[in-house]
Amino acid sequence: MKKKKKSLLFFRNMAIVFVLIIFILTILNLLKKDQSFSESENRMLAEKPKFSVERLIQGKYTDNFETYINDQFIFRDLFVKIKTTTDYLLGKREENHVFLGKKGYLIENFTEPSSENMEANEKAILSFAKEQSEIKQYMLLSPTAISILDDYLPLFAKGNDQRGAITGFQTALEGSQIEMIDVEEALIENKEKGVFYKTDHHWTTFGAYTAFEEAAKVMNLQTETISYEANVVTYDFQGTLSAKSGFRTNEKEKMEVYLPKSGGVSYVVNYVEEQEKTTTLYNIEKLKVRDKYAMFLDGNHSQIKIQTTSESGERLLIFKDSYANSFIQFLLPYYREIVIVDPRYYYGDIRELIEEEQISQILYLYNANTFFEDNTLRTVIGS
Amino acid sequence: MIFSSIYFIFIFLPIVLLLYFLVPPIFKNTVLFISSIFFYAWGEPIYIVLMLFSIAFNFMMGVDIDNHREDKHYQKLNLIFTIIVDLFVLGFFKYYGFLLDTVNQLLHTNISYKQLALPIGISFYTFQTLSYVIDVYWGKVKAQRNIINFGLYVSMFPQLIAGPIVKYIDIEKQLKNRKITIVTIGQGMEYFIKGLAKKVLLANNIGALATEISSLSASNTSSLTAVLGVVAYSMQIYFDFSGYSDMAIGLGKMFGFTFMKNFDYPYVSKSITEFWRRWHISLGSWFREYVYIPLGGNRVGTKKHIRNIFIVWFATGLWHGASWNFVLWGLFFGVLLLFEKYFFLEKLQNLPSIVAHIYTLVCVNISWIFFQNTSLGQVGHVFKMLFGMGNGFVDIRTLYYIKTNFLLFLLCFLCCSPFLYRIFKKITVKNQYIGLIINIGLFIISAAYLVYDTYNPFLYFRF
Repeated sequence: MKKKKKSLLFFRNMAIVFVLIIFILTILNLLKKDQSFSESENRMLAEKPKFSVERLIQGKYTDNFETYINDQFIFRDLFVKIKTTTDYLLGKREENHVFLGKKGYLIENFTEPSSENMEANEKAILSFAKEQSEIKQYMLLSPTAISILDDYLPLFAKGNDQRGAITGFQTALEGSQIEMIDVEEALIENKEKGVFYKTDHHWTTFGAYTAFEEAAKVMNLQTETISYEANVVTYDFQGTLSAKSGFRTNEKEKMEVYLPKSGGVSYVVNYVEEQEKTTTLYNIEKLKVRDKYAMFLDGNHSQIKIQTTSESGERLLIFKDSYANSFIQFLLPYYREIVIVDPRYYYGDIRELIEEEQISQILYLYNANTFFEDNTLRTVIGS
Repeated sequence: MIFSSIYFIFIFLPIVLLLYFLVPPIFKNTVLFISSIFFYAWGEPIYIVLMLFSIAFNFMMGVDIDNHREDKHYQKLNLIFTIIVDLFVLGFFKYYGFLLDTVNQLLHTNISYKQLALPIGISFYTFQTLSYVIDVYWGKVKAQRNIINFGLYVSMFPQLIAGPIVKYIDIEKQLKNRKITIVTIGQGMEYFIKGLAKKVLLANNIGALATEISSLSASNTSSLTAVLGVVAYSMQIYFDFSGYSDMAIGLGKMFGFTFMKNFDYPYVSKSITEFWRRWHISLGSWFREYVYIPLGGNRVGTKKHIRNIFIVWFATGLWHGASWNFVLWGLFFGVLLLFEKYFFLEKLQNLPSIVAHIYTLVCVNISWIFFQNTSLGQVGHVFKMLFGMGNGFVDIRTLYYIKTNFLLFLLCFLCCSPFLYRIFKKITVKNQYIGLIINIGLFIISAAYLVYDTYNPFLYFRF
């Protein structure tokens, strides 16, 4: 009967232990104050939902309450760590479409675009190109780490075909007024020197510069007289991918700014919608928060106008995503004015803008991941 | 509300446990009943009215039938009326869209309708009220005259949403009289944690793989990948459903109720006949008791027996979902069971057990293809992929899936048999602290996954 007694003892202890665990955690949760922002997840945490009979009946109150309880659970960060560690121990090397790659790289997968989206974008760009045929037009569609660093992916992992999508798009634009700038080779050649951040989806400033050197060839920009010096502005950069995946959340890396040693120009940056002007491309305040990449041109704005002391008469219009933010500085010496439009936030009349600013060149500057999911560019340039 | 969530485990459950143990015995059932209403209304603020109606209606009819023991005719009419109303409610809320779709297809009409949301648990609680009213009619039990107790039977939150389907006769005495000791609470906890781990650690994770594979394009699906997808789904549905049943049984135990187990390691079966004695036991038992046996079961001629089997398996399939693929799934088993009964069950038992085992698993896995895919086109697609018409026999993606899910699959396979649990029991007897630590570990890790992921789908939910 000793076995039975032991068994009873075990269940008795199970009851005591778990009643204690559940009650202690519940009480701790009641005592804990609510947190509004999660540093590690880089997002706002849910707050206590407001009660209303209407919301209760719709089921919204209970849904919001459930999210609130989860977001504000005590030791949340520890639990998240336990979860991602268990996943890792079970062999998982991919979380939320982000691969845990070799050499410390987090690599975001490419999402296959729908053919409707592709065709709609192609049509819009081609027709706009024809319409603006007096203006020189260029496109830089940059592959991201999923293509360039594909040999750093975990064993047997294969990303979706970003290269194919880029090639397909370039083929569609063949014979049009738009000249393509192909940066793939250059990025691959230089990948060991770090063209992408390890914990973020952006290219490094070095990566942007490498791409620029390719662009200069196509856009006929003389680069011999201008040289740059890399300056580290922070060693504490934690990118978006570590937050998105939960991998490498303690990893910090450096972020650089390239300052011209010779041949630079002076400039004024005008944030049009916010009606603010500055004389620097960089918002140093952003180095104090988590999203440090936003230091470049203060993140994403609907419209920015930069006037420079360049002797060139050319005026450039750029349609872009955030990859352009760390690239634009290299274009400054060659243009009297650069107008930057982010179609995700721009609601103006682009044709009016082109006429007013006397735009002489257009550049589309995107990374493939954002570009193929985009549906805002075509509404801006569409007729 | 679902069990595998933070708010259930750390808010609802402690509050209900506390209230339950604080109130004097006469109020305990009331506490449970009200908590169950709250539990259901939390997820279904509107359909709670439907469930309350079902409770009130079946309560009254049960009492009425019981009051007319001398008048068989009256009793029979009442019973038929009750059954019709109960089935009509179930049919209306669950099958009316399906019915209209079928009519439209057959008659080439275009009757439009507004799709109603399915009330959670309606298939489960309807079957419970039906079992009650039929048992009262048969004189197996006396009607429950306390509406709280009856309401508790129908709506008890441990088994309300996803079973096991509890027959009234099995629980009648426990409604009035149950013994709760610290040992039974501990046993309940152990069951609950086992179920929670099955659902959150095994089912959800292997389910993510199943979902990913099923959404791959044909050019990305090698034959072996398709196999992985089917096996992953069979693991998901087993651990999801049996995990939920374990949690239900564990929670019942914490309040003094003993429910019969709903799964008995079905994937060790050596025949389909055996499989259905081990899978979703409470449903099979319900259909046997209230449909198969009243129709004559297998004690009638061969033709009628076959008819009975078809009716039962048609209904079993249809119970699982308002779509023809579920009927196909049910009939698939009906045919296999007939074949086994009339042709080769004996031969099967004479074969080496591994062969019988493989035969059973292959059939079961194929059945899940019908279960998972609602259209014949999708079913066809899966079979095409299995036979290599996608991306060949094996590709790099297959290797990637195997490499990143190997341990998970291994754990799943081990947990399909009682082997791991027996080892755990042996260890616990020798040194109970190891047993405690393992349970605590499973609980903490499960809680971690729950905190991380508010979205936590349960496959048998909408039934």
